[in-house]
Amino acid sequence: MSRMLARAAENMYWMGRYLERSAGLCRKLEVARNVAVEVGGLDPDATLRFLQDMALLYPGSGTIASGQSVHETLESLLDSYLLGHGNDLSVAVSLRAARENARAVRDYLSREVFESINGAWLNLSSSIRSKRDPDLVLPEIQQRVFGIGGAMGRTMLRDESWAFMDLGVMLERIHRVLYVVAHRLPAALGDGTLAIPVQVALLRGVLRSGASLENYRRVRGVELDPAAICGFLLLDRHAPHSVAYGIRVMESALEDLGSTEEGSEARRRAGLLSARLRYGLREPVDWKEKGASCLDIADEILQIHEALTRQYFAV
Amino acid sequence: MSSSWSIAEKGWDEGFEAKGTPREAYAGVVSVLDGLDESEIQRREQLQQISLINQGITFTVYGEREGTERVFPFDFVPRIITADEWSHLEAGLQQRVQAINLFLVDVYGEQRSLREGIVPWELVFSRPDFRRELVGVLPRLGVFTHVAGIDLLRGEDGGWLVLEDNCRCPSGVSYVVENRGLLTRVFPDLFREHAVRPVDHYPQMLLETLRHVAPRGRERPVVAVLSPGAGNSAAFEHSFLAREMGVPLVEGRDLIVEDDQVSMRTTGGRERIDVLYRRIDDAFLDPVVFRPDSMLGVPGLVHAARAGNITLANAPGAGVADDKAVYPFMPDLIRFFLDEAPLLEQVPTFSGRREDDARFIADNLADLVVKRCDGAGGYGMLVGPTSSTKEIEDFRGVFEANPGDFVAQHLVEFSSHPTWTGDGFAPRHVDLRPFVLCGESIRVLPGGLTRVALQEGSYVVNSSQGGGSKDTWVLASGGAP
Repeated sequence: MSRMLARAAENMYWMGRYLERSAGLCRKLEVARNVAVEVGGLDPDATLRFLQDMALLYPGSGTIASGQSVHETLESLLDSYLLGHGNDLSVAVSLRAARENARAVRDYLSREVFESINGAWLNLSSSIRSKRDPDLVLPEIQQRVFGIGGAMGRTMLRDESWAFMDLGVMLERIHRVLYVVAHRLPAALGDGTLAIPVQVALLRGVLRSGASLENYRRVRGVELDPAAICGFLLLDRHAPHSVAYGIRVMESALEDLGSTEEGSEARRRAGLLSARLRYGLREPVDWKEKGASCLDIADEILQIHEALTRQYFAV
Repeated sequence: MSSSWSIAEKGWDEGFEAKGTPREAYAGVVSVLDGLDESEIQRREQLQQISLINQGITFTVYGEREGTERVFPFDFVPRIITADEWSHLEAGLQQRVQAINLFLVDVYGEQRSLREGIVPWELVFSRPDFRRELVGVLPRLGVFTHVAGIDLLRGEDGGWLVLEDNCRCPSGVSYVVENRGLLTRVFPDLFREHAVRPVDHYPQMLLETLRHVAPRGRERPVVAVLSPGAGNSAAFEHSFLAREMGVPLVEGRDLIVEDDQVSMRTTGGRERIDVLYRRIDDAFLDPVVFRPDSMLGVPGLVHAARAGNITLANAPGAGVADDKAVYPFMPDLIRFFLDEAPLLEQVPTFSGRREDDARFIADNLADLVVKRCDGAGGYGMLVGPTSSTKEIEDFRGVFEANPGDFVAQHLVEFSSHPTWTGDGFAPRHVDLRPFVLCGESIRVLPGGLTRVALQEGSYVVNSSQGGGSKDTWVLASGGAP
């Protein structure tokens, strides 16, 4: 059977990563806005801590200036993480990079997928040029970015190119969820003295950051328990944004690519990680301890990325 | 209502015989468009613009700093060619491309046409696109130009004239297919009373052509499209063709030559390629043979082709046939190789290499368009009728120093076509590039790319300088497409 070009595989992989990054950033910005509205007035300090941890979720994206009000901080977040001013880890930069990758592999994409990516980028770039209010731009872009996923799911061939794109999507997603558990969950809990309404709003924000609030409620009920949240985001095998689910999809994609555990470092590492999650972490999860070990797992995810590059892209 | 369409004051108007009287083939289209009010036309035009932008049907214009992506403007008034007219054009194009391939086989083979003086040998050997290193290397089945784009104009009497041949990497066919799709979506009513021959089978025709010329012994040849990359001005087209043919779109860095076999780097290792539809100029194709600083090509590619392990389409060296200096000799070459009179006329051209012609050019600079043989994009040329006396005299010095470097033509007042201007229909100049495929047989895609100069009075149809395009209809004979 004919295999796909190594360069095209890499483009598909990065297109998936950048699209997932755009979607994740949009989601977190929306969460920031909701949190600022809901509890910014009740507890400005806790809200500011929550907003400022964006820099921890996206290491290398710079820091948000301290000493600003909640409203000013939110404006800075939108300016930096949505419009991309001075920040390469932004929706604008990620969407542009996704589109560049899509252009390079247009022959692998359905028309619907290419048009939705192209349309999202054109909309955002024109909004940036015309200096539109970011508050209005965010929901539009978010809707478009989420629509891309729909177009992909409905129209793309489940072949090798899909497997590489899926690997990119899942790798990016898992990586960020691990950071949410490691950084945002503790930030949401603070020192344990937060007022209940504030605490609930921030924990809801944690779950929303991992696109899991509604799923969590269906599975675990309405009680927002930190250990249960940590367990859900890490271990739930049916929640599409949990780490366990993501690893399972990655294993399946690697299997589709014909990788064996003996012959593929990426597959071996994914298998080890899967076993570690399955047997090393049991509920109820000690979120303080396991939250910290999320950063180790995030490093392991980066090792899988390196292994993929060596095995498939640098042929 | 059709009286509101203005018509050409000079030259042939393709849509109208006289003010208010559309040509027979255009009566239906004019009537449908007359039935739409201005706001409806503007709404549909907006739709087509959005569609072009969303689909990313763009080309890249390189300025001083970086490439800018632009949409290729599309005018919805279709250009119509009747079945009888097309049948004549098709035969003429087939004849011309057959002669071009025979000429190329001859130039890199026996060189009979040079020895017998049909074309001066010193002219051919001095052309930059003549590839000395390829003499004696004949491509599979003797086909050099698998895909040719022949640029045509209609002269003042409406007759077709060949303006130039493009034998290397003619581009634009993706717009032919996309334009048709766009027009059927946005102006379906235009098609109601016409049987228009389809164009969307072009990728299939191209793939058949490419497979036919694969190296001997390859039952299921692997075909790929070679592109300079996503930053190239024609990147959309490269990707379109690969996608529509269902073949890989490769760049030079994806390919490797070992033991004269060309392979692409895939996720499963290296996979052999048999036919490469290359959209990279000769000079950049192989740094071992051509420009050593090329980062786009593949070292060893030409040697692999020479060894018969891969077919390059179009074959390197084909550019000598579309050189401006060779163009004046095409009618003689057709007679020489095919023993037939040319079916298509071409713009009468004087060659500075012929003594009589050189004298005529020098005596009539003020009436002629004089072009450098190795010039392009309007540089190094004189448009006598619009030049000052000083410009003409300055040019005379340059011309007389090396007359052999120039060709000259009378200024052709080429045809105009009804075009939407934003607030009405007015004539704009158009040309036509039909696409000819040469494999098992020579086939012509019905129609071709009509380029239109969107500015009033302009003769410049190039996309990089404000030109646009139109859907070109070839009507089916007997009503069936």
